Amino acid sequence: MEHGKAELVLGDTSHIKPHWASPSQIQKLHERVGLKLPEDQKAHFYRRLLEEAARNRNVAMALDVCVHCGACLDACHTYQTTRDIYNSPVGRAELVRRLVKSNRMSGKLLGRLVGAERPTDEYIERIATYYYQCNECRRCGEVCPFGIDQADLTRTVRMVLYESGIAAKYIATVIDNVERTGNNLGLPPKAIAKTLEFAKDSIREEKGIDVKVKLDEPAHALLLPPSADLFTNIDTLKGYILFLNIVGVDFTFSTKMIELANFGLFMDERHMKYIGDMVVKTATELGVKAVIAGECGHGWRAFKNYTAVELEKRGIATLHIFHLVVEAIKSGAIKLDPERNGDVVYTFQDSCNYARGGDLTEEPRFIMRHVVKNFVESPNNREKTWCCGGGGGLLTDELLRLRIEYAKKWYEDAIAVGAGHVVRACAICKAQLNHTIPHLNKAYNRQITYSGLMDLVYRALVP
Amino acid sequence: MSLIDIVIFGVGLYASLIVLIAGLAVRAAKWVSAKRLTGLYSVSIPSGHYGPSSAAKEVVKRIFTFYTLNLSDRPLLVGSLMFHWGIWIALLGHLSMVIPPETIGISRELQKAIALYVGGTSGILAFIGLLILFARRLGRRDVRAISTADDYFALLLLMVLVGLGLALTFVIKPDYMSTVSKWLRGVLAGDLGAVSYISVEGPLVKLHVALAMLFAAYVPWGKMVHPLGLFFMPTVAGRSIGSFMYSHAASLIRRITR
Repeated sequence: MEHGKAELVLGDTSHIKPHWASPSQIQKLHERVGLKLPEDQKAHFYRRLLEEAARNRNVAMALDVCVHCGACLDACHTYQTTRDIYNSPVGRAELVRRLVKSNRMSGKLLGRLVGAERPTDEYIERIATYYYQCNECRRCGEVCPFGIDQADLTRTVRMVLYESGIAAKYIATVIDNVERTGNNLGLPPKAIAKTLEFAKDSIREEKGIDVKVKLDEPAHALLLPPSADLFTNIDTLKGYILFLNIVGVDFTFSTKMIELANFGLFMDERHMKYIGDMVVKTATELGVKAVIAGECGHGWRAFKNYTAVELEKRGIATLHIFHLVVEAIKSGAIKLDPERNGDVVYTFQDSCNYARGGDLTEEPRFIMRHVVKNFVESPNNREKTWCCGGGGGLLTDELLRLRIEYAKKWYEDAIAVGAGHVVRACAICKAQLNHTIPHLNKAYNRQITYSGLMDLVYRALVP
Repeated sequence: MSLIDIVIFGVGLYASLIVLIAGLAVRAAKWVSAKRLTGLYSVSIPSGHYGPSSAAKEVVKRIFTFYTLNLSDRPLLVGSLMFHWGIWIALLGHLSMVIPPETIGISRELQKAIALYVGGTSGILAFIGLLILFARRLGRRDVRAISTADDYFALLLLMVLVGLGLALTFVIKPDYMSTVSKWLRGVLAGDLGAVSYISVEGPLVKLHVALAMLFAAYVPWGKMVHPLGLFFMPTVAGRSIGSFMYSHAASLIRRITR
C-alpha cells in the first residue's frame, strides 16, 4: 500500500501500522544500552509484560483501578477521530489486560470466555499496532478520575516490545541518528555550521544587526534546540539567536549535541537516558553554567524530568528559552513591536508536554500578549489542549492518513475562535502541522497558517 | 435463631470484615511493592506546588468534586456526583448502627427523622445516580463495548442494595435500632448470641444486611477497589521526579549576560 494512503475506515484502524525496524537495526540499538535480542520473541514479550504488570506501579494500577467509565474515550483524539475502540486509552489497556488475564487461574481455565488471550504472533502485532497509534499526549491521564496515565502504559508496552525486537522503524532510525551524530537528522558538523551561518546572514539582512553565534566554543550557556529548528523551522532558530544576542547572553551551540528532542521517550527509557546523558556530557565538557532548552514539547518533558535533574546535580542551571524571554520583557531588556506580526488572529495551542506536567503554560501566553496584536485562546487550552496528532513518534508517511484525522480536533478549535494562525511551540507539532495543514485547509476551505513562538518573537523584536 | 442466621449474621459478618480489611491490605501492599515507575512526573500537580500537602489536596479534590470528568459526557459527571455523594451521606447515617445517637446527644426521635429525611433523600440521590450510570453503560455503545461482567455486577449489586435500603426506609420502616443495631454492636463486641436480635427481622432487612456483607467482601477484588487507588496512584499521589526551580531566570539572565 502506498505510504500514507491507507484507507481510513471508521471503527477499524487495525490495518494502519508503522514500518517496523529490522532485527539488525534493533540489535545495533540494543547493544548500545546493554540489551540482547531474545531467542523467543513471543515468550519474552509475554514474560516481561507479566513482570511489568506485577512490578510496575503505573501498569499494575492502570489495570487494577480502571472502572471502565469511558471518560478517556471523550478525551482521546485518537478514538474521537477514528472510533476504533482499540485505538483508545481504555481499549489499548484492554488488549494488555487480556494477556495478563491469560496467566490467571480464571484465564487458564476459561480462556476467551473470561476475556483472556494467549500471546500469539498475531496478537502481539495487534498490540504493537495499536500502541503505535497512540500519541502519548496524556490527555487521558488528565481526565481520568484516578489519574491513570495510559501514556505511561504505552511507554511500558513499547519498551517491552522493543526488548522483544519490535519497534517503529522511524523512531529507531531517529534514535540511532542522535546517538551517533548528536542530532535527529544526522547532520554533520559542517552542515550545522553552514545553517548557522545562513541564519546569521538572514538576521543581518532582515534585522540589520550582526549577531554572534558560537559553535563548540566556551560560553556561559549551551543552547539546545531541537535539530528540526536548523532545517525546517529556521525562523524559530533566528528567534533564539537574535533574542539571546539582544539581551547579551553568551551562548554556544554544540555539534556534538544539538538536539533537545528525545525519541527515547517514545520507545525505551534506557535510550531516553542515553540521549539525556549526551547533553550532560556535552555541557560538562564545554564548561557551561547553564543549558537553555528550545521549542520542543516532548524534548522538554525528558529534559525537565531527567536531563535537567542530572545537569543541576552538577551545578549547571537549566531553563527554557521562554523563561528568559518572559524575564527580558518584564525587565525591559528587549523591545517588541506587535505590529510587525500583522493583523492576523493568532491562537496559541499548548503542546501536550508543556501543558500536562510540563509547567509551561503561562510563559508562552505572556509572550504571546507582547508579540501579537490579536491573540485568542483556543477552547481546549492549557492542560485540555488537543495533541497535534504527530506526537509519540508518529510523524511518518505511512501514518499520514491517521495523522490528518487526529489533527482535526485542534484545527476545529482554531476555526471555533476564528484564528488565522496557529502557534505551537514544539518541533513535532510544527512538523505535523506542516504535513497536515494543507490537507485540512483544503478539506475545510480555509487558509490557516502556523509557526512556532520564537518565530513571532523574532519578527516583533526591535534591535 | 436458626443455624443459617448464625452462619450468615454471625460468622458471615466476621468473614466479610476480615476479607474486606485483608483484601484492601493485600491490594495496597501489591501496589506499594510494585516499585518500578514509568512516569516522568505527575500530570496533575505543577512541580512548583508539589509536596505532600498539594498531593493530599489533589486526592481530596478528586474524591469530592470529580472535576476531571468535566471533559466527558454529562451523565457520567452527574451520575457519579449523585451516586457518590448520596452513598457517602447514607453511609454516614449508617454509623448510627454502631455509635448510638444518644452518645452524641441526638435523641431517638431526631435520629429517626434524620434517617427518614436525610438518609432517604441521599438514598434516592444514590439510586438515581446508579440508574444514570447503568443507563449510560448500556446506552452508550462504546462504553458498553469496554464494559466487563465486573462492571455490571458492581452496579447491579449496588442498585439492589440501595433499592432495598429505600424500601426499608420509606415502606417497611423496621425498628432497626432494636434489632440490626443491637446485632451489629453485639457481634462486633464478640457476642455471637446477639444474632438473635436480627433473627427476628423480616426477610428484606436480612437480605439488605446480607448483601451489604457480600458487597464488603467483594470490594477488594473487583472495580470497587478504585477509591483506594487514588491514594497510591503515582500520577496523583506519587513523588515528583523533577522538581526544580525557575525562579532563578532573572539572576541567570544577569549571570550569563556578557
